[in-house]
Amino acid sequence: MRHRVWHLRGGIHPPEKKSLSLSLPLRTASLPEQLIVPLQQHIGAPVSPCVAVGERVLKGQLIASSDKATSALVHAPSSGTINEIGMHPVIHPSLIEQPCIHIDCDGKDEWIDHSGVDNYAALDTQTLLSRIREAGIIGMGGAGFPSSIKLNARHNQIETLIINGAECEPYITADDILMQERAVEIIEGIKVIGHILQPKEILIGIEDNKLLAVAALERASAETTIDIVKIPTKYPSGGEKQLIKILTGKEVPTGGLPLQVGVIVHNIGTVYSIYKAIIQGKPCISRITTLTGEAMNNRGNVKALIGTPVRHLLKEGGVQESQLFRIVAGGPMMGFTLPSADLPISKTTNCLIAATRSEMPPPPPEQTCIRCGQCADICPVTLLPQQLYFFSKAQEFDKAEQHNIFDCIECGACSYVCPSHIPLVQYYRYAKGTIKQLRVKEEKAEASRQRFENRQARLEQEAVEKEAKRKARAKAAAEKAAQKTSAEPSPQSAQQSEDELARLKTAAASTAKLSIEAKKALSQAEKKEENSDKLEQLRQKVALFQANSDKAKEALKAARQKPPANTPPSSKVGEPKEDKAILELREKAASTQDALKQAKKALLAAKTSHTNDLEAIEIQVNQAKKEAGAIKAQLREALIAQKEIPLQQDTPAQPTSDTVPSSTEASDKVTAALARNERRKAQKALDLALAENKSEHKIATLRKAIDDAGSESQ
Amino acid sequence: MEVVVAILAILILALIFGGVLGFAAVRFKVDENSLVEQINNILPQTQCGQCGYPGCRPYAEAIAGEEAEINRCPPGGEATIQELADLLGVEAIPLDAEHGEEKDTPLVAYIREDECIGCTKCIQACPVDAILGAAKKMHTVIVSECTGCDLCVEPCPVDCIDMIPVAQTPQTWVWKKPRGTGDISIEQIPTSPTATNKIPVSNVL
Repeated sequence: MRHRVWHLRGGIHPPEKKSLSLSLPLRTASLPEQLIVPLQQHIGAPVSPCVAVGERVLKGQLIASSDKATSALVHAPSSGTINEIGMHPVIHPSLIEQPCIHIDCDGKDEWIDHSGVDNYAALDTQTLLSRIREAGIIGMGGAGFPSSIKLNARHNQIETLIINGAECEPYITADDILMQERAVEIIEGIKVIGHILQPKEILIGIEDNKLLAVAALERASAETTIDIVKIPTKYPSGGEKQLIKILTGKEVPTGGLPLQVGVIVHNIGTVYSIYKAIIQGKPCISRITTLTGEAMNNRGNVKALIGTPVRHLLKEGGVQESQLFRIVAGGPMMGFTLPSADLPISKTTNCLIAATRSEMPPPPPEQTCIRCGQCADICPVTLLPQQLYFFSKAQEFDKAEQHNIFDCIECGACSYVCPSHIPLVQYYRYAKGTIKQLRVKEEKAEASRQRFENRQARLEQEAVEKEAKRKARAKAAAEKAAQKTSAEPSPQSAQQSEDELARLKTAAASTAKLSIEAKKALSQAEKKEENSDKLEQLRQKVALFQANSDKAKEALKAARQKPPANTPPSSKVGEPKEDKAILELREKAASTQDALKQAKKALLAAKTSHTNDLEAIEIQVNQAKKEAGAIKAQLREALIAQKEIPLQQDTPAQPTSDTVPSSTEASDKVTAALARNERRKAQKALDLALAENKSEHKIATLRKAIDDAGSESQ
Repeated sequence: MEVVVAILAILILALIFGGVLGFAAVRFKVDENSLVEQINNILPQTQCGQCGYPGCRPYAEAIAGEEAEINRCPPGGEATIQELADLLGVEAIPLDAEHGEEKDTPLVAYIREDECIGCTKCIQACPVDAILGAAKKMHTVIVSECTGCDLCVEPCPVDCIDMIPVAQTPQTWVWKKPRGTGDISIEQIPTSPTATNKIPVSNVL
């Protein structure tokens, strides 16, 4: 029964040019002298090298690993010696350097001990998954996501397993040749994946321009339930979500994963790698790469080791340098022009095109959008490319996001059909990247806001604690002082005196209250015009209370004045005199430093505004510098002297141990650092002078200053 | 009589609407703090103090209180000014050069560790606690937390802190914006395939 094929909306039919690289069978590329293996070929956590420079490694030996699940392990593609572990540009449009392991091949291609499993069906899922992870297998179709994670689905979650053999992009035939020549192995690999995922159906989607591959796979899968589905040739039917739509009619939701609709898609290359990892026990150290383009004589597909330089492969393909105009990694639709040939291939490099100028001419200049709408007609994701273009161009990223720019698969079909030659995909890539950058920035801003607020809260709390401590100390000091004073003039304790004070206070308050009340009563009585007897009585009462209250107040006053009068002047008496001197010096140094800074600022301002009294200001600066230097020197001497005093006192009592740096050492370090600083400043001044072609005399004096500073710092 | 009815009707209506408005004023009260919060969210949170306020939040409060202009944030640059202008409904004004210039590349502080004397001055200066160290022990910057605010450079007595540009990785790299139309004059439009030579072969091989 023929499997139903759904219609894919949009899409284009660019010239296929696949026959260029299909005339020769699959061959193995010759061993290069040096392999440069990038450590980050996948999407996910980075790996770190686990070999050392100078070490001999065997083919298939683990050279970089990580215990994070989202990382992909890296193995030595051939035997040889580790020459270098360092930064090297990788296959990426940015030419940014990334950590790479350089291996000098010894030509023996000697395998490390390895063994596959005969009966994978006897192994449980986790064992198989860990074997796949240990083999460093990532999605070979282009995304480079670690396969072991993609395969780690819950039981019965997967309805359909799709093997992507569509290979819709022009020029590329790597999967085609693999299906033609390794059909049995691929079917075996699919069975392994089927065993892991237990899907209800397994489909292989192949475009109907690869009839040889279809025939080979049909022969190999005759006794299985695997369904080989021919789909109409159309770009981009090989996109993951597009292939799911074509084969199952299901649409993956925006921002979602195929897993959400019960589908999982693996590339032919990945399946072959999984077969090698499980059945043969070989890690992922090579891949099939298409060498094509009209500037190549010996076009075809090669099995190339990961880390082989592009230059080596171009020679393998017989590149004609006179014809070569540009090298493209990946296909002509989604690939990018390589800025250099000295880059190593990675696990996802499926094609290298050596193009002539007439084959891939420089892009014609961009012209204004005429709103013809062709891009919207062919967009396979049914986006509005025009709108996205306008938003991206005007940097209205929020609107671009609202128009689902992140659903764009960057297939390049819109750029291909645009009659105004607008590089639409470039705009989308720019917008997507910038949006991602802004998101990272926002996250970082949020984190720093939190850190700033936490710090603020901490500082406040510290201040409160300090204040509390200070108060406690002050109280303790007051108590101590009170104790002292009370010990000398009277035997009363501080506590007692305090009690006394409190008692007096309440007495004063109560007498004052009584007198006020009496006064009130008197005035009321006066108002009511009561008899004179009562009035007289009240008046006497008031006078008595008034006298009482005055007495109490006086007593309180006397009691209050007592303790401060007798406390010792301050606790600072015991401090050494030098401290005061140092303090003064410090203040002076700070003020001179300030003056110097101001003078420098003035000089700078004068320089920028080109005023005439530059000389005068310079003299001022120099003077300020001298003063500051002198005072600093004084301060330094004083500091050292002060530090030496306790040191001399200490040394006889306790011998300084070697682990603890002595204070002289510390002060030496400080002096050295200061001198170094001065020297650097002098050097800067000299550089400036040299740059400005100052007079020789000045340069000479500056040189001398540097020498002086240098000798001082030593 | 009609006049009375009219006055009564207007009065009743006024009461009803007054009630509704009063309820709305309480129920949907615009919190002054929420405006500060919104402004603060727009600011880049470098906490550099270049605006003259001790951090982004105080500056946000000043903007909300109409004490400060919106153009005093150099790390945020034109984009932040535009956002603030949109939020506050005012005209976007160019960045005030008095408070500094917008930098193209993000910077991060780097301590030359063998020269550090362990004075802790930079630690005290760092507004986001991104410097680790102890007295008389070497200090170092937590790169992922550093906002590149520059505040640690000045207090260092031995001048051992540099501001270096953040290294780019393929993960942080972004495609450039295409040149767009209008850059090319009519003479420059290629008439034959040899008119422009974007990638010289000599650079490639």
